[in-house]
Amino acid sequence: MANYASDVDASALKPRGRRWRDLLREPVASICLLFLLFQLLCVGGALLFPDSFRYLTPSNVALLQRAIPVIGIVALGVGLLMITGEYDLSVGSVYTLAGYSMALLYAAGVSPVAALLLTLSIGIVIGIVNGLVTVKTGIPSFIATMGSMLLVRGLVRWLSEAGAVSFRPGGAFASIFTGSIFGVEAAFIWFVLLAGVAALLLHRSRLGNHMFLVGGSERTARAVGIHTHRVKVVAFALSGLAAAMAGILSITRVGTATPAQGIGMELRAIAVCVIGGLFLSGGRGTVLGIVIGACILYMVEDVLLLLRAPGFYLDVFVGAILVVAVIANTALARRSAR
Amino acid sequence: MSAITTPLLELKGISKSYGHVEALRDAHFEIRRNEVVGLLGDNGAGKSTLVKIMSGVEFPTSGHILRDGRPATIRSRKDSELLGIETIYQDSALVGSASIMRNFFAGRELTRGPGLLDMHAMNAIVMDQLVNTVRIAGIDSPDILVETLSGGQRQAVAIARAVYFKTAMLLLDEPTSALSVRETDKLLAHLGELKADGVSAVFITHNLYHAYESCDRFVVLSRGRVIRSLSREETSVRELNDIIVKH
Amino acid sequence: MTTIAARGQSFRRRFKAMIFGAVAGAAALCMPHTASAQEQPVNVTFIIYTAPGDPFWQPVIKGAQEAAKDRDVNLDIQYADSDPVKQNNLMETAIANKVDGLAIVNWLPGAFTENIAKARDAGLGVVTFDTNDPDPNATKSQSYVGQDFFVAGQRIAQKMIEAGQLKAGDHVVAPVEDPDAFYGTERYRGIKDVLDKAGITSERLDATPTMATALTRLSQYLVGNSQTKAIIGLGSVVTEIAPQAAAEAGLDIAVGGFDLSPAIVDSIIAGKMVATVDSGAYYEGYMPVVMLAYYKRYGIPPASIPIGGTIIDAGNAELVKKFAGTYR
Repeated sequence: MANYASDVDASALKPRGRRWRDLLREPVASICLLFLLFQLLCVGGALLFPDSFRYLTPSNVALLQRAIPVIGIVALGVGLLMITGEYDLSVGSVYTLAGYSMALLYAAGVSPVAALLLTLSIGIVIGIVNGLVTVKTGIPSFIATMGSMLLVRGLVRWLSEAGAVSFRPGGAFASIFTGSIFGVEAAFIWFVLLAGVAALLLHRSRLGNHMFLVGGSERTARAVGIHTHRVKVVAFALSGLAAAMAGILSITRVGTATPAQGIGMELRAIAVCVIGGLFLSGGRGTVLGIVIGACILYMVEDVLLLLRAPGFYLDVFVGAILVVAVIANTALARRSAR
Repeated sequence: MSAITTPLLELKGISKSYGHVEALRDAHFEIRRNEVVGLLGDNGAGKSTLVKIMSGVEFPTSGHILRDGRPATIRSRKDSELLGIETIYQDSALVGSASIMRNFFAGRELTRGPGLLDMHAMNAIVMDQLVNTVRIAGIDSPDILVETLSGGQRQAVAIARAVYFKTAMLLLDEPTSALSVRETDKLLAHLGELKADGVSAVFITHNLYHAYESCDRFVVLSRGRVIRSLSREETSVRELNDIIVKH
Repeated sequence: MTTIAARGQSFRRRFKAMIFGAVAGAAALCMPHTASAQEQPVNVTFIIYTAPGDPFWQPVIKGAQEAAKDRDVNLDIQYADSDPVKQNNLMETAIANKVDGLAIVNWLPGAFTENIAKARDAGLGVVTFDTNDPDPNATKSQSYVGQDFFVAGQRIAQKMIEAGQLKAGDHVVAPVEDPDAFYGTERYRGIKDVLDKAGITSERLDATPTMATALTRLSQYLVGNSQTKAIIGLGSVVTEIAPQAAAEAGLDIAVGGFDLSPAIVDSIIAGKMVATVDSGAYYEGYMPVVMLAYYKRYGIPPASIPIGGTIIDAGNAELVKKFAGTYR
């Protein structure tokens, strides 16, 4: 038998464990670092100028905890879907519809908990419809969900013509979503919990593995026997579910809903995901990145408001961060793939 | 070579037409355990069609298939998988943006509890396969993304996967065409190792030298028909070349 | 093999991030802080509830800015994009920022009650402008600077009946931008009060705050309901596009509405519109800022000021035209 090149010394191939250096090389590590730097700056500024820069005041911290989860939860759903390689532009409309659904059901005498379950089901159903249309007809999800975005918003407008809707359940239900424990807002606790579930699903479950593979290469995933259509429809359903959840959180906090709410939310959610390191082409990303992306997005807005900057500064800053994030992510991908 | 044993897979009288075009006409093909068969022939001879029928991508217009002597139908990839046939494509059916481990267990993940991945077990198995069974130099972690691997390494990972999942037979459709000389060398060595581990292989290639180096038997196709079936001892690269060119 | 390249890339990213962070930080620290002058300027956050661009707010903004200049106020104007969630976030940020005064529009029933109370408890002065809950005690806002919608609605309805020679059995359409907002519901209540007594039917139409969409919606309504005898717009956007909508639908009917803008004034002068109700937009911006500044400095509680309500028609439109878009 000839001596083949494969007869290498076995000891040279002993596997190494996952070390810090490997973790730091992940794109999400750079995003975490950016976030930490940002926080250091803000905290430093707040400590040095406590009267002019009220970043650390209890009311600001509470506000952050209440505002971040709304876009954060929507982004979790949009992000999971993006990893499978699809988009959902209807999340803003579903978000608004969820508010109307809760209010109208409650006004009709349904208990808040039942209204919640029904509303979440509506979100899931809309997601499934989006998914089925996309996989069965082959229409790009961008277009298909643009259609459902308009359809659902039209539905919301029609519902709104009956009059203003309000949802004030009071008592236990309200405190579950708007109360606070030891200074931590309920909304934020929900966000962290949902992010934990999403992380478990994406990084540690069979379905999550399938999501990464389908997003990486749908053709190959199908070749190894994964039901790519099923995976995508599930991801769409989760996106609708997340949007509905965020809508329920919002209306429980504010008490009323208007048809013009949530417009533009779908693009903000995509921006959060991209800032968080997800690829627009799918197949890559982490839940941690989405969470940090949501925090960065709202915190930039918060800082600008605290500094009393005119409104357009926000768009400029977010746009700049978005562009940098996309460039950095693309460059990193091009580097690693030869 | 002398004992008459039931072939692992036998294709009898296989014909396949695409409209008016007859890709295969009454083709016979068999492969035994611990055998590497080279499928040779010029372009359009029907080699790819034959392999597609074996892997379930295409369905023959007529003829039948026997697995271990028993009739079988292969109507999908899943069917061929269940029969222990795995196809290694040029792009080796791996998703570049995912890690080796995730690719290795794609669609066949090990779980514990309600759908949660057993990362520890899967990682251990992957490394074991890569280090001990299909020895691939340069890969020291199951978390390396496939897209960072060279072409040869990717093929090796695909083969390691096939071996682990107790594939009885590998179908390799032009696996070396995109590889460097060194990587081709390694791949051919793997074929030898596979044979020793009890995995048969059907090897389609244009390169007669590669074929001669690694195959026990050769089946030559021309214009949809099997024209010759020769064992390695009976022939030479020169002769094989002549056969193909003359028909 | 990959590690070195990736490591280099990763480090470069981190470096980029640090530079970005440092620049942002430097920019932040350079932002103007409150100066320690002899008389401390007052900080007022002024929240306009729609998205920017609606011409109605121009005189309001001008009023607020002039008041800020006259009374040494640091004015921060923000927009809530017709989103109660966003408006609440803006209010809470103002509270966290410990500004001295907060001027908001209370345009949705109950949506801002909690934060108004929180602002008052935190020591901020709160004045609502432009729209308020008809029940003055609904929130802890100290005062309301704006129109009495019900009365204004009655007035314009009366004017339209005269000018359009409307009689019992006629039909009137009242388009509105935000169907839930107080201003629309209250003005309509006044209009309906007068029309019902005259035996005239009426109906509201949700036209959205965007001009283009409003125009399309209204024209289509008119095409489908060609027996409509008059249009009374409930807000500035719908009033502005109403004459064009009528023309596009091929109807020659009486058109009127609320609020002023250069285009509305031009329509009145050109005879395409009968009349509009002056909103007194300038004072909506000027008065809250002044009152919040004086509340902070001398403790004078803000007072409610009913403004606007005058009918502007062909008779007095010329005067308005000179200052339309700036002061009127």
